[in-house]
Amino acid sequence: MQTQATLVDLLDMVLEKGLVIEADVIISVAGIPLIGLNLRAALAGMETMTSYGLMLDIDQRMRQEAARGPASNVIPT
Amino acid sequence: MSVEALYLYCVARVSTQEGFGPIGIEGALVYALSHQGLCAVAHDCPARPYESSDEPTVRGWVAAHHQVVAMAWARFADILPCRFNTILKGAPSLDPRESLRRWLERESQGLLERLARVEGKEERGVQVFWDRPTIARQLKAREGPLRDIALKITSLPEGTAYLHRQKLERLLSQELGLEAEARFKEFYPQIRASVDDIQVGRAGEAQGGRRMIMNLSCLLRRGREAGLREVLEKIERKEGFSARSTGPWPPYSFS
Repeated sequence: MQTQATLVDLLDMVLEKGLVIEADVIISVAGIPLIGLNLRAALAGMETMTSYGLMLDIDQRMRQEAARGPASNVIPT
Repeated sequence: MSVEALYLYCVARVSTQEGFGPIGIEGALVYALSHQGLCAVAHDCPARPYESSDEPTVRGWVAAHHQVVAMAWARFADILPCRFNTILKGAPSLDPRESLRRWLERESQGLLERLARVEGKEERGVQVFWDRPTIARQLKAREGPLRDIALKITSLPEGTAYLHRQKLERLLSQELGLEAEARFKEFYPQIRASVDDIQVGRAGEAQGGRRMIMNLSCLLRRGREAGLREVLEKIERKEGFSARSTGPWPPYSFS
């Protein structure tokens, strides 16, 4: 079973998902084409993100962070 | 120079005022800004969205956004990742940082509820594909109008055969549509039972003979992906089907 995330997965995630804040103070981006359809199609190849040096191995990162323990300068609530 | 606006990466349930260094979009200095147990991870930015049609530029921005979110996820465990270009501008004559604090206060109940929903969880993308020619062959082998026309075509003169082939294609498309629906209804409950929450997304573009018939975002307990993996491996054992799982992701789709 394939498991490598690709650039398209990342774009779909970051551009289309995520907390959307409805508030007067948020700058609306409605109608602003950040990335044209043509460009999107051009990026639809299956290159893995690692080939761009983009993707961090999150699992690995989390294990490292867990091993480090709580951040020393985090102020407890 | 006063701060014009704040680019928001995510919200977390911690109180910290630390800086994370120049890890943001275009090397921006990323830091945490807290108010009463909630914090936003942000960088100072001009009061306008990031926009470009230059591919490498956009790739870099998107990558930086996700790397900051991933860092915060590793660090703070439960976060609500923001969408790209979530930019908070201060109310007139108000520092954006103060606007942010007020927003955190105003929204605190809603944010805490959302954080509770993703506590201890991760997101995985799940896609199921089939090989169209393989499935088409299976459908044509079943008793019914499709098989009848397919058989008939072999004994017809060319002109008539052509018309029948068109009819066959139309019927095949219909049958494939129904079959895709049936398989979705078969697989969805199995996948749903192995995760905590699910969102159905739009299927992506066809790639050669391979068609996406399911595109899901799943929320599940960290470390509990074995059940999901089993379900997907079972699907893959069916002739003509393949599956793909990405992640773990911080819970973008469930924020």
